Amino acid sequence: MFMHLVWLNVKARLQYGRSFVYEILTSMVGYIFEFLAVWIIINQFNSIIGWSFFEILFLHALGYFVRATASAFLWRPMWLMSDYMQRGQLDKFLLSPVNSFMYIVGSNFMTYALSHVILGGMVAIISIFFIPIDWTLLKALLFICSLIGAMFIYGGFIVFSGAISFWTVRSSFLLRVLTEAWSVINYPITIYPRGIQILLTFFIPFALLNYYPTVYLFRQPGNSNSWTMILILAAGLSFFTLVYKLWWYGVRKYQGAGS
Amino acid sequence: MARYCYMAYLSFKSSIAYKAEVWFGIFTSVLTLSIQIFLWKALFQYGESNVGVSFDQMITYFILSTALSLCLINSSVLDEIAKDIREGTIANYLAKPYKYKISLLSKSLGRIFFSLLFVIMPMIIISSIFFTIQAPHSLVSLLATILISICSFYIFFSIYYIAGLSTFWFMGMQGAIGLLIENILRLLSGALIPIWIFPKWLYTIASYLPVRYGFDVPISIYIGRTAGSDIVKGIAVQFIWILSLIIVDNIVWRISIRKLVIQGG
Repeated sequence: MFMHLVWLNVKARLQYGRSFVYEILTSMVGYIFEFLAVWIIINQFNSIIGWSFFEILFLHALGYFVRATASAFLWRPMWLMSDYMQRGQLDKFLLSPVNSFMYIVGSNFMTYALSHVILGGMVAIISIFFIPIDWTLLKALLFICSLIGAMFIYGGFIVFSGAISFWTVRSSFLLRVLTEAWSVINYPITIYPRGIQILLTFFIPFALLNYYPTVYLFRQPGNSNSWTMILILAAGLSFFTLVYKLWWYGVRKYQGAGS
Repeated sequence: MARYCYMAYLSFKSSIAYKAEVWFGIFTSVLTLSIQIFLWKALFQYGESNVGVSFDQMITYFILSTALSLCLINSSVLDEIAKDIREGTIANYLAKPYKYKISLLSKSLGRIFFSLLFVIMPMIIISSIFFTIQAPHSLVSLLATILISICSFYIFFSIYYIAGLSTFWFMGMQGAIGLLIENILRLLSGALIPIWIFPKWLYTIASYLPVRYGFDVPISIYIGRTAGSDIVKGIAVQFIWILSLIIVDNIVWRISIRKLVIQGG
């Protein structure tokens, strides 16, 4: 049912094939200039604290891929939450016999984010060919596990911003901050002082989304190992469950207010 | 003149209405600046590559470039023109007793005054708590920096103005055009990375473009990388650029208006 709703959304969007191509081209502009800037710096300094051009490229692209995948599903419904509430349209989702969360998320799939999923994925795969990695099956599996965890972590942040709107009525501000704050992990977090590194690992764990999986994949020995990958998956799932509970708690509070 | 001042005042006032925008602007600029400074700090510590300036000069460069980019790189002129073209309201301006370009210019100035007061000042105060901003190299270089920065406003305005008029031909594409221009301006003006660090071929391209008068030239003068007769030369060349851009954007305006009239039938 959920995937069917999503598919309907995508299909409706793909009717306008030309504008989808236009969206991909637009996203590409941003990528090209970002990578050009990285290239200029590495051309001058040979590396960014030991990371080669393609390693940084992979870090960027992986970040985009993880973020865009979570955003495709969750960003628009959570952005619209406050809108729905102000216009009283949220009841439509709450009154239906299916899971309201799934319903609201499924009917607001953001096809635009797919362009970032495709581009990020492509750039990441291309850069892998330029980085020596000793592959094992376990490594590949654990890496994929960590990506799923990472998507849930970022998704958790998005749903959290949406759930907040049950109390503040405005969710857009936090979501915009989230979008901007993202650029913090475009470079290896070791460029930051120790305190910020700890902050980004445990408290606002953005570094779990791309830095630690990347280090695990091709920068061993580093501060990341197989256990870190499993921990990322566990952290992602439990954080998302917690936030999901918070969202439902918000729904109950919202329903209570009316009577 | 009074009516243009009033337009500037109105756009200043309407900016105040968006309080969340102010917080957001301060947050983003401080964040972006901090990332940039930490990155360069790591680069300075790790590599022994010679970039021609000290680390403190580099920090000052980035703080000033963040402040200037909040003034200069702003696609609202482009968006406004694209909106007027799409909705057809641009035709009304032909009948009104003021110039379309000057009205856009005054609105843009109003917005800049607003962000100077409420975004740039707080940004500089906050970042000076964490990072050190160097004093200007000399009084002359401070004055030259201010003069060149103010004049470079017209260069950036003119580029956005021409881009906005180009939506006559690229209807509905102002999003992509805005993004493309913003990226090009940011990179080639030295807003992101000082252009003297560029590889030779890219430096050559950047050094012949007018956008460097927004960032590279004034900030280099401020930190004392450029001094003496080079300052005078810089001001002279910028003056020529502004004159040529005034001529070019007037020509583009004439051509666009002709297109508008043809469309009208």
